Amino acid sequence: MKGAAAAALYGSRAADGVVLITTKKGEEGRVRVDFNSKISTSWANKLPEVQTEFGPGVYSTNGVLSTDGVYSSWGPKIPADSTIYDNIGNFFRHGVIYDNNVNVSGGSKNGSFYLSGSNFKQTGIVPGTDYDKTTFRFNGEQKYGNLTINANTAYSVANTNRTLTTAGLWAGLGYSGVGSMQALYGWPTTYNIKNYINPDGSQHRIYAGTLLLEDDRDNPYWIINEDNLTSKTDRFTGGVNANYKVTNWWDVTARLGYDQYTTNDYTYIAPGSALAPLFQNGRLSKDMVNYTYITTTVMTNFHKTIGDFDAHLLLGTTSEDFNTKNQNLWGYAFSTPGTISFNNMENTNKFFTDATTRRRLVGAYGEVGASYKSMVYLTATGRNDWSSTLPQQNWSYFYPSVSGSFIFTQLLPASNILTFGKLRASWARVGKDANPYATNTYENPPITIGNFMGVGNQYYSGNPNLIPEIQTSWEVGGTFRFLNDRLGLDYTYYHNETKNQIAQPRLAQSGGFIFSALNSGSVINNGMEVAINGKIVSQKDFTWDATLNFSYNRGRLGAFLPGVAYFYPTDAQFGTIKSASIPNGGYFLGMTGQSYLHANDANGKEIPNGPYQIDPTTGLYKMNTAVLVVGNREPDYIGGFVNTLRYKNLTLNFLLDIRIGGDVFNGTEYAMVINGLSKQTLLNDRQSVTITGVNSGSGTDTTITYNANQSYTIGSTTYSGTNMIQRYWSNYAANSYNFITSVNWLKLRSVSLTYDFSNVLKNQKVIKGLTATVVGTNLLTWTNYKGMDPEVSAAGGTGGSGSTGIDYLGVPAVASFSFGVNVKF
Amino acid sequence: MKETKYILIGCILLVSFASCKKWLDVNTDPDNPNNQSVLLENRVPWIQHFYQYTAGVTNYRTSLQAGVYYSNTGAGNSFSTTWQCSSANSTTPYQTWFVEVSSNVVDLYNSAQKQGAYHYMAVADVFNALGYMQMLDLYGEMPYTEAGTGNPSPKPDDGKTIYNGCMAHLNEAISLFNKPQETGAPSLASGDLWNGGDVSKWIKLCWGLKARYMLKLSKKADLFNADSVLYCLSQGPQSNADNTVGPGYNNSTVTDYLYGDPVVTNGNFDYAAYGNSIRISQYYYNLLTDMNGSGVVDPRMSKIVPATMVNVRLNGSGQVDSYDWKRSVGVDSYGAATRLLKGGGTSIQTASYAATPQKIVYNITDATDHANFVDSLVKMDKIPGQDYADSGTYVRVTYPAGSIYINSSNYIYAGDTAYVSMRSNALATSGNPAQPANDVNWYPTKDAYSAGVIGSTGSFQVRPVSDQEILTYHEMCFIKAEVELRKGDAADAYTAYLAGIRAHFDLMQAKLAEWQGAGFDKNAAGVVVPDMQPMNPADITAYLASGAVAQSAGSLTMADIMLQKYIAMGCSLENWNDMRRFDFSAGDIGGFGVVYPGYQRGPLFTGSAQLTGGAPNDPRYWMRRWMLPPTYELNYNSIHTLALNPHAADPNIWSMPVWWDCATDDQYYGYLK
Repeated sequence: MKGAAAAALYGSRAADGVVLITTKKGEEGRVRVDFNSKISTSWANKLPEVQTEFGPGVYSTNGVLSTDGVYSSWGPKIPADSTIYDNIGNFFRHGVIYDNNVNVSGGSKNGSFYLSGSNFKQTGIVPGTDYDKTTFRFNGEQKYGNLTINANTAYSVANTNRTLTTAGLWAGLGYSGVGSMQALYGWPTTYNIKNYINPDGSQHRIYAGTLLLEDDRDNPYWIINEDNLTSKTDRFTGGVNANYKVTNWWDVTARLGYDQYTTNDYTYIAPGSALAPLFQNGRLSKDMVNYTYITTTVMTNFHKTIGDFDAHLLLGTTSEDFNTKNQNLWGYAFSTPGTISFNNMENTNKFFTDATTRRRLVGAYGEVGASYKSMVYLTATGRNDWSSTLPQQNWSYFYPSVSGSFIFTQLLPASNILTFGKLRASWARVGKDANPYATNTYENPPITIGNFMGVGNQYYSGNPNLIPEIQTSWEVGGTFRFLNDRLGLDYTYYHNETKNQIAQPRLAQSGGFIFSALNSGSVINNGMEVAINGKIVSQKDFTWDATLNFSYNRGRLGAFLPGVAYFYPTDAQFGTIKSASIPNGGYFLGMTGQSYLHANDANGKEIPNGPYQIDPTTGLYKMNTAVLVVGNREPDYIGGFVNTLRYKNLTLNFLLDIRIGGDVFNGTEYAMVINGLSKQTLLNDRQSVTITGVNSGSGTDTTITYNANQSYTIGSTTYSGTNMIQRYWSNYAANSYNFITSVNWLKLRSVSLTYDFSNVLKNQKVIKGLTATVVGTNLLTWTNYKGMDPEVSAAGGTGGSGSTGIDYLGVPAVASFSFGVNVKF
Repeated sequence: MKETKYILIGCILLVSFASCKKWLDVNTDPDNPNNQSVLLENRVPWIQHFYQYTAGVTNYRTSLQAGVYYSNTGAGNSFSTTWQCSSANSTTPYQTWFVEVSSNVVDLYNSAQKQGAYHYMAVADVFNALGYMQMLDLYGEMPYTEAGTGNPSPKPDDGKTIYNGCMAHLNEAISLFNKPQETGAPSLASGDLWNGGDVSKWIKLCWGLKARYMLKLSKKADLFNADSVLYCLSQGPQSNADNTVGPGYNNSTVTDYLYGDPVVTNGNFDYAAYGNSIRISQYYYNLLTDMNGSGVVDPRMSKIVPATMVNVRLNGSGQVDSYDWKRSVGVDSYGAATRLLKGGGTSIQTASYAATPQKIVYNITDATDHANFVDSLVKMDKIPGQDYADSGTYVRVTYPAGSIYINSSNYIYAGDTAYVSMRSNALATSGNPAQPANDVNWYPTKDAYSAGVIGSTGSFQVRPVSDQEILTYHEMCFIKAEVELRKGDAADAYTAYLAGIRAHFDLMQAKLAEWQGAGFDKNAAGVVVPDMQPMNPADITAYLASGAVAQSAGSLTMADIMLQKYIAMGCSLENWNDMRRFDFSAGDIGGFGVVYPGYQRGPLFTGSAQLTGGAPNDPRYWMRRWMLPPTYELNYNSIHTLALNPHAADPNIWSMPVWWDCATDDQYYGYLK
């Protein structure tokens, strides 16, 4: 279900639409068995490239080379006889997925059942990562006269080995890092990263002599082989649904839903890891999350047809109760090597914390609708929610909607040209509540200092004056079918605006906090979706169906907190870039960054695309000190082209994916330039760099070449050429525009070939159906983007959903190939 | 039948709505108290600790600027050596004040007001002054009147407003401290880490702070009032017993919620002696060994400048048998800077420990360097063929087991053991459970600890267990000496000058004796650490009579006063504040001449984009303030920030004087245009 109109029935969580998953039911008749099996292999589709000509080291201002403890590669040329290691290429492996699923279903006149079991087993392209999930599901339905009762339950167990995927490689201060591939991508190519352990079991470190362990970085292989980071989730979901038909025009439904899971995270950091000294004898953390969600619904439906009119009325009430309990145990320093347990730690080194999150919501709603001659439909809804998360004076909020459609072809004479035509329009409002506890400022756990105990504020500021967030949206559209339904067109235009958006963004710390809960401002989205589908060929043995869809969305930030120039909704801040929304009509998916200054015109105004200013005090391009909006990560257009061709029992399906525009920041390349591993930095064999522009003081045209073997006096300081070349590249890296591309792509997202063996099996009775399928995904990409797959977002996605369009040292995207069979008994 | 159903449904709805309100009332976190329920007596120790923490990082980083310390990290080195000031320094003091302290001060004041706990309100006032004056000293302008209350975009205030606000808070604090608390209000003693609830000490602290702050106005002909300063001093600390210090403990491994640093240690330690990147600068070292060119070594020198063990021989059981102490020398950034020029500005290395004999082969192609290197081995009585071998351009040196040495084959670094790390160990930072609470020496490895081989003895003010000086009598004496000299009263100035020096000796002696009493002066291997024992009183007497100290009122110069103050303040923001008041070594203030001789741009200077002044008497020649945190304030609060100071983000903001550093308001507001 699309749009805010769904929200009356499903509440504010449905403001952005609802995906309804209808669980499978058994059918009346004999018992059926269905078996699916799939095996698939995946691989990194594009890896970052590194230069292999210059080794580790940096040159100081006066040209002295340092190599001790230096990971970046600004050092001298690697001698020709040295071994170069393809550390990145050797690191990733082929991932494998086994996906097996069997289900049994059947039913009688008054009852049916469906039972399934499945197992999904995956090993990732990053060594040491895997995921294994087993699910059982049972659905049953029984009728007793006018009463229908159905129940469904599912139980699943999922185990994840999350080494290197969620906890990072840069573990500062003994806390888990950021999940980046930074250590791998920055490893000097003259050292074999696979050499991670010494004969005595300690971590092999390139600079063990000069870098203290706490100042060093963990080798990724050390993390994979010595640490242990796992997650286990047991989940039970169940629901009971009873429907009673009071009369043929009135029924009552009651529903109870239950979702409960327990996640156990286990994090073991081996002794000898690059952590603060306190934690160098090992760390252990266990995190237990217990989540419970109970929802109840009572709903009554009236439905009556009077002449050409058909009317319905629905009234209902619902409650939702979320409860999360989180307990964390952690400790450090194992007393006896080899025993990984809290028992093997001193009492002073063990800690535990509790966190309880509760959220409750009550809703009452109604819907009234009428239609005339299956031609005109009108529906109105209203809902009031009471949410525990808002201040009591503001915790009740009402939101209505109206929608209608008109099948105008009913009024026209039947036609083969326009077979069907429908126009539709809707308007809806949805309210939304806050996160639990956002109405108050809470305290940190106490600290003991001498004979005193200290307690102070957390860095989240609460807000006792929050009001609900309100989204208002409207959309218009139509569905048209032509030429006896051979050709179809679906069109939608939408507009929505969210006001008083509740956020807890990072704000100026002079406010006293890092995050403050508040009603921040408004967000406006406009967009359009068009889909054209056609049955291009429709013959007995050969059919070709195609769908071409095309859409755009324009997200903008409206009025915002006065005095805040840029809104940083997430922590996606990498390299010189921050993911930002720009108040008062600017991009919602914008990026802020920094740039060189261009020359000024006679009035002191910067000339767009004019020559760069060169700062005589640095001898390099002058930076604009203002924070600039440097890009919009939202694509101009996206589209897809789905084709299904069937010849007799063979079906070929392929999906092409198109994207036009939308900026991507190549933060991976940025990091490579910073640490001297980018191939760009091989310019002129690192013997010289040249800058061209105008002197920022005098305005005169200036061209300066820095040669590696010369010295340069800038201001009162003398710089070696080798140092100036390093400075040039760090100046290059500082200009965000050097790493931003407006990305277009055409991807062969998937191609599959299926053969249906039913014909072959006609003469036996056991097997009722058999198909086999091969699928390739992401096999081909044509793009103007120079880095890894432009779909890679920051740090493999751990930068959050807000990191879209920021490619920063992430786990590479994958391509895959799979083979599957489906057998029906 | 139908009616029953209606009634039933109706009842269910009614009951559920009636109990609805109670059912929904779950938005209170059951696991954490909130900012209204915290006890006053728990809030104050939090504030005191985190104020010490923010003051610690401020003291340390401004000491890099003032020439007390050298750092080999990129950001630290930009303050100590290149003066190409890096905004990587900007965030921590700001964040630790605003996020860890400021909102607590607001909540403390409000909660105390509700209970009539006037002394707690007064404490909130004192912290308002301490914290925001520190912010003013560093950043010049930032939110003050709208700060610390969760305001998403507080407007900044100019330096004058902040200064006057801090002074007003101190005045209010004095009157509140003099007021009896309402009955039922908790006593200050139950929540005061610093002064044990001694209100008279707090009042003296307030007056002392007023004196310190009034002194900041010394450039302002219209506002500086010497007699007002003297009056404040007369109400402030009168002896070391009146000092306010924050305690430093080494009795817990608990670390804080934001930065992961120990919660019990001295804040200076957390930055100046936590890691291995910091060394004594030659500027400070010279003042301690050659004040006024006297060649007299200050008795405090061996307590402030760390030492390391050399010539270690281990006994049969692998423990230290014999050794020598080697006192660190200073790293030269402002003078010839020979070592830094040779290896690069950040190239000073950290020493390692040789658990087993270590052979290092150096390839020294430069003939002179080669000869000098071998010569240095000869001077250390190394035996050719056994301790080292010299062949062609190569020299192979064997460092015997137990050696403190530089683990690098680059010969330029080989002598860096001479620059002893400032590092001390704490329970929470050593990673070595065997090292007890009353041994705070730095051992490079656990093997070194087991052998008893000390890598650094640390430094008086920056050990985990050092007192963090909030306001001291010796500072009061030096302020008095300066003000009297400004008034032309050399005799009173001289008396105060001597009293200041003596007070500082007394303060150190008392603490050193306390450490000795608690066994800090020896380690488990039986090594005696004289650096943590009291000074020899005869040495102090001799020093006071030497050419390092002015011997008469007539010969007393401003430089004498300020340099003795510099030594005594050491790791303190006040040194950089004082240097700004005297325009560093420009020598253009009053008739006082060059007050900080030898403090100058060195050969590794690369800060011409930050410090745009062309000559020492140009205000913009020197480091005069910090850029605001580039992300958390400049960026997140850019509109208001740039509206007040359009140059806040300019690269040369670092050389823009703050309000009190300007002679007139016109000069100050001229900069903000």
